[in-house]
Amino acid sequence: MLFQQIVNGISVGSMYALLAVGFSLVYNILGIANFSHGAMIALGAFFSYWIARYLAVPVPVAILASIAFTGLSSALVELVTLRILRKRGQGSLYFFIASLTVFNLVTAVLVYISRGNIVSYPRAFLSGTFTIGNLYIPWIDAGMLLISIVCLAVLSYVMFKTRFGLAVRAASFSIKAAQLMGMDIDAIIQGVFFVSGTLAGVTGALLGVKYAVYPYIGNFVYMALFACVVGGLGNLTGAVLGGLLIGLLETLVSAYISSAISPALTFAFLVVILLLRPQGLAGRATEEKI
Amino acid sequence: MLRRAASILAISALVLLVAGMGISAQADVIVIGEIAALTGPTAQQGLQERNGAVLAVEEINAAGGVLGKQIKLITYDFKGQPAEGVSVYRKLVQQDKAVVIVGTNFSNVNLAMAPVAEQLKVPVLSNAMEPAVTTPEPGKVNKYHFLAQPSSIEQGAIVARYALDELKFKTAACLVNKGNSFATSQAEAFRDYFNANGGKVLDYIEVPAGAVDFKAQLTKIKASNPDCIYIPQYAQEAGLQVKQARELGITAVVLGANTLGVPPFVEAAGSNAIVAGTYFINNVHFGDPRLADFMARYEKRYGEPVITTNVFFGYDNVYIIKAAIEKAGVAEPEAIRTALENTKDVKILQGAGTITLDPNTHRPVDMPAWIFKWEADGTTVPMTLMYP
Repeated sequence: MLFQQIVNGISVGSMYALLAVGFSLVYNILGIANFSHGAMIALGAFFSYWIARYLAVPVPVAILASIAFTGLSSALVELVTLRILRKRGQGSLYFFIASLTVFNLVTAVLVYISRGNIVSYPRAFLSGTFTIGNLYIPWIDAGMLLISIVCLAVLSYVMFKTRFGLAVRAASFSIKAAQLMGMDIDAIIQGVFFVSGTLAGVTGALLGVKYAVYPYIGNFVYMALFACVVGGLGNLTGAVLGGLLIGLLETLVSAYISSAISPALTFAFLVVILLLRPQGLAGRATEEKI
Repeated sequence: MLRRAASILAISALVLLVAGMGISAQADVIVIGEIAALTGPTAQQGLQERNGAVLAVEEINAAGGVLGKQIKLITYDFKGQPAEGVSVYRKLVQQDKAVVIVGTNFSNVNLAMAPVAEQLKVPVLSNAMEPAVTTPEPGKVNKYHFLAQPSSIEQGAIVARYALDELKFKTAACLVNKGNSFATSQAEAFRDYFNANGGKVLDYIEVPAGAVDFKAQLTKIKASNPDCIYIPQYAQEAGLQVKQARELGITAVVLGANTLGVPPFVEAAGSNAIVAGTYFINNVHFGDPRLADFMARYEKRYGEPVITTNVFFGYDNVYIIKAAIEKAGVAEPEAIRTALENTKDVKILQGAGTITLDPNTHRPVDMPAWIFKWEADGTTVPMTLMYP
């Protein structure tokens, strides 16, 4: 049973990890908690559902299209909120509030459109389970883990091997210095939002397959925030570690201590971790950005 | 400045006057308030509940009304929030001058409304199954709250009895949403009945409200290998639980509450094949020949079929109220309250066709419910009508 519980925990954790990485990207460069990430998770789930349902295309195709849409939506959010606030010289608190507003707005619109109903994809995708010994592993969980690894590999390639990645890393050290070097900081920030949006989109779509598509699915963004904080804000490796740790903690606490009190106990553990290591598991002490 | 204040006052006075005329013009109608879930995850149920109530009101009004007066039904949405339920109850009583309120079928909402109803003294006829809604503690009854379907104690026990007597199960597990008194009160009743009558509940696991991943809890249940699992949650949560149980290779038979009979349950579970073999309880058997005429009337009026039991909640509640008002002889809250308390053999559509309320508990006496089974082809088959 312990091994099955660890499998359960990793399957939840890998999903948190993927969420946290996208969330961490924006934090990394701007030092801002971007809650519109939650809106992109929900849009990722709904776009792929709508495309699969109404255009009658295979689910993987729908998910790919949805990822592009959420990337663009995220870039659009940057354009109409952060860009304007930055040009006006407003502090990061205003963007934090704007992003929270976008999250709530999108959720409310989705509640309205879906009438609050939960829906499932019209065609089976990664359904069923395979077994290894007496371990039961749903295909979707294995698929999510694999897709998380692929996404992270692609992301680290982009961050460390491309010009765009170099620019993002430079900007994350200092936006001012990057600007002084003649970099187009608007384009970089927008690019980061696009990438972050695609990651939210892919996770949202997969969450929709794993559970179901429902308007409050974006609430997973809070787990992304906690995973980032535990792992070390702004640190991509830390985000992955934090996600896996929370997933495992939640599952093991539910299984071996108490299921009803699992959220409370999980957060109590996280508080202890942060007291011992305020900079997070993988984090280094950082200074304020922007 | 003063002139502006004066004109604002003048306009306010005018508004009040018009509003006042509105109220006085209503003197020859009887206002029934309805509180329903018109938005949110259970909107389909709430909207059909309102449809059912509206249909009953239309029929009654067309036949001359009650005590020679027309009924006016005012429905408000409680938006899934207990606090909102309290707020619209106040609004219906204080602003709309409703003499009696129907709704909801959400125990959490009526638990919040109950103390307020005791203060404002306008009776509520609900379908909130949690017994504490009408009897907050043993021996004490909420004077202004009534239940019009079997309570959760009865429904949990009926399902447990079916599992023991008909399905011959010996062991069970309960998975229950701790944040939902609808679920906890049924699960406790199931556990107590099952344990007291020769069965054994191996696991009784509470999950936090809002959870969507139940694999940790289900893995634990799988290890103790019960004959059946009882999941008295709302439809969508229960659907996710069945889906995840099957993903983990759990083959135990699943039993659930009356929420498992609706399409969102299957939608959340993913397919008909996954829910096949699942049992649930319901007050109404849609294919009952006794209801055929009503089903046709509903479909003709709304252009959509009856999908949820809430249609019957709305419809029956209005007729129970009508009987109470006729018995009271006057459309006033206190008189209606007394008449409701003495509801006896009033004709309804649910159960076996009549309802009698117990004056000591404000809940139905011996009201039966059906046990259904989901088939792989997406249909539900009535198994038996069971009395508590």
